[in-house]
Amino acid sequence: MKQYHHIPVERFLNRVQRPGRYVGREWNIPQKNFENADVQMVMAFPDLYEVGMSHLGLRILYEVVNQAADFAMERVMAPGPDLEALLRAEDTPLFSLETNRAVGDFDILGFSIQYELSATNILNILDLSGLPLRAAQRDHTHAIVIGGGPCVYNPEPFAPFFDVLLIGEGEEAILEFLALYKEMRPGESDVHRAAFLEAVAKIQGFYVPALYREENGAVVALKDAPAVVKKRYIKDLNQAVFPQKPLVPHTSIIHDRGVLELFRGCLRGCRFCQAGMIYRPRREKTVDTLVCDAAAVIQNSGYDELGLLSLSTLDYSHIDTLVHTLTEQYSDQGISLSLPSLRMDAFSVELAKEVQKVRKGTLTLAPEAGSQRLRNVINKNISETDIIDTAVAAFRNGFHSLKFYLMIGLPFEEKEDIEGIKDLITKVKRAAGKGLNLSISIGTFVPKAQTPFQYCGQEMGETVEAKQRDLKSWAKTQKGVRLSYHDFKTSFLEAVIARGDRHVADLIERAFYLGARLDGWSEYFRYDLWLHAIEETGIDAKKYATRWLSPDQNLPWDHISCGVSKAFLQKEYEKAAAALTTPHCAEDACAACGIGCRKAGEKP
Amino acid sequence: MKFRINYEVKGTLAFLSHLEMMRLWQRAILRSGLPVAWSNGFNPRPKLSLGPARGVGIEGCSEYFDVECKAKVDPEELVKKLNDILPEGIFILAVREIPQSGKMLEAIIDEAVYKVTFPQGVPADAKEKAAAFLKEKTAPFIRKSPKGSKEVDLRAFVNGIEIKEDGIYLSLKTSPAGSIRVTELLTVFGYWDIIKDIRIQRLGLFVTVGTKRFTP
Repeated sequence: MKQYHHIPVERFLNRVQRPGRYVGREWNIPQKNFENADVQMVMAFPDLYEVGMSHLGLRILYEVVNQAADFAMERVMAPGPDLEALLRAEDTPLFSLETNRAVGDFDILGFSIQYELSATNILNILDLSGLPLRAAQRDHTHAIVIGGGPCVYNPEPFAPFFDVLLIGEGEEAILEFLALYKEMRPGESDVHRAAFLEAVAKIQGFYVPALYREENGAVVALKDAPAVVKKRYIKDLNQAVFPQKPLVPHTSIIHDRGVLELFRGCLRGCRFCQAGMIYRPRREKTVDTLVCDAAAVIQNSGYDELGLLSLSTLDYSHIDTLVHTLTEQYSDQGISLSLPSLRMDAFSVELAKEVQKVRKGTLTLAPEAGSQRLRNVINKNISETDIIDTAVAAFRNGFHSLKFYLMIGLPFEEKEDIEGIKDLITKVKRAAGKGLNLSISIGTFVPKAQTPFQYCGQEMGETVEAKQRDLKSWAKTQKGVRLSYHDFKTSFLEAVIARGDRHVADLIERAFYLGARLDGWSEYFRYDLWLHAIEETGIDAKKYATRWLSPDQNLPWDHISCGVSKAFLQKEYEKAAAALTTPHCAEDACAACGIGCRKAGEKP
Repeated sequence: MKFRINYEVKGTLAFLSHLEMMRLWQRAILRSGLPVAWSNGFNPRPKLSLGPARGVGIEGCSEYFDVECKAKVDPEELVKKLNDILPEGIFILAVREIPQSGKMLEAIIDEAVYKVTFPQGVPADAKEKAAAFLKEKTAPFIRKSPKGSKEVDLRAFVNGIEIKEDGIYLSLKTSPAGSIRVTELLTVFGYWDIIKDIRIQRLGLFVTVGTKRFTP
């Protein structure tokens, strides 16, 4: 029998800033004996509690595993710097939230990797759990370390730290993985462990990095591991497990509300968007399923707000019916609905009005680019008129504050496109008249694997920062306009990891040893540590971020398939260069992306 | 109808802040399905008000909050409904109906009684230290916060200190105008941050009317 160490957590809670992050005991913790299950897994979210608990994927997997009698899943999040210092000073391992047992003692340690800059947090959790950072240094006495999430669609920068990575959706795959663990008992000996990992590699979606090696810029399979690992996805969301009894955190989290997932996938095909590619095909839940989810979530949680979550929520086929049904049922109970961002048409404004009957918030519009040409390049199929009309309609309907998302540093961007941003804002203001407050958020383009823009290099920092300064000083002269942008340095590191190969793992490891933690938080981000790490490892980080890749060369992530064909990505890239658009999946004919939800050329 | 609810908080949930407790009760009440009254305005909330804030990490043995319902509710049913949907560590002890127009808990509660226990027993010098502290007219203490430091007179807030075999019992003044932390007293005594795993419980909250002391 495995020995588990219980950590006296209360000893530390008096001395940390937000103990609510670590107390656990949320409402709706499953009533099961976590310590008795045959296979015990702890799922880590490599960011602070308030971020981790805002993530639906983690909640879904938690529900899936804990519904199974043989398995149990507990949680752990990245500790704040104060708790980390205390744990290290007192030589105490990191603990799970449910039973306060040492994370390193579990059979399996999972990571949900949603953001490139959580890389050092992953290493910190491994280290605080007493586990060797690299898979090659672990043996049968250590937990099996598995990861998943959008970042692993280019797994290489993470690969050396993981025994297994899961490509795609986890609802079904995780149960197969746990069942195989139970059957093959990899904890018994190194031979058992090796046999287990070889067996895992044969299940669709599972990538076992130790069974692959790099050759001429490509990652090739050793032994009989599959040459290309194909992603997993579930066919019917209506049949899938959804947490109808969501954990209700005691401390406030980023998205502090109940959640409905309307559909997965997106029919838009924006060329910069990784989510738009990797979550294909689009799969909707029925209104009946959603109304049933809503009733359960509200009743079981006590939330007074319900978020309608999806990639482009208002594209849901029955959005009208759903919103009417929910508002009719809940608005007099003081329960409000919220939408992530607005589709740019008149219908959406009407709907937003209905959605925000109880509490009126701000509306968010995401034109992404300032000029029509650049919007065509990125395949954001909306016209300037759509944007202006939507903003004006929203303003006339009482939404006096609007948020705009725009991006700079996009591929094929010219000086005129930056002027186009100013021009667009000016036109929106003029059309709306006095009293409109605009908050403009300027993001920096980060090229991502498995998108048409995977070939494109990120723009140089100096150029991006000059554009940021130019826009900022322009905005200062504009009444009612507030403009903010993100630090380029974090976008740069995102790009390095997003398009890196296995060598980038050395850089991440070095940055971790130098003290890099919570890099996504501006108050903790230390770019100087990363610069040191770049210098010490001699890794040409800039090359990874800024290089343009040729469509006929090997990519570091060619051994991973999200189901969208390389030919489609190439064609989309070429069309982007020519500023040609591709109609989205709901109109016209199928663009034959390769996911196979219908036959090429078939009408929707 | 307005109710005064008496509850306890034990274990790690004692580490929740006042604000977090507020949200916990709001959600618990919505989950319970009780016909709670809502505030008006831009951001409607269930109408409830909590007693004086407890220090983070201090267990509450007899805490209070008031809640307003818009329909008739049987107090016993209220206790049952709430206890069914509360997380482990929080438990409703009693409920009573109170007049609609009564004062807020925070305004009427003027005394809090604490018990401090030590894993290795009460320190040998506790009696001596308590007597010396009570003899003084003032006990200035520098309270540090992110906003800067401020001097407070701890003595002015101490009604009494009693050293018993099982722990130190403290009676402290509390009001919306001010209060002191038990940890501040323990710091002055030289115990806090020196002795490990000190446990603090708030045993009760009291209202003084004339010379008599009542529970709220």
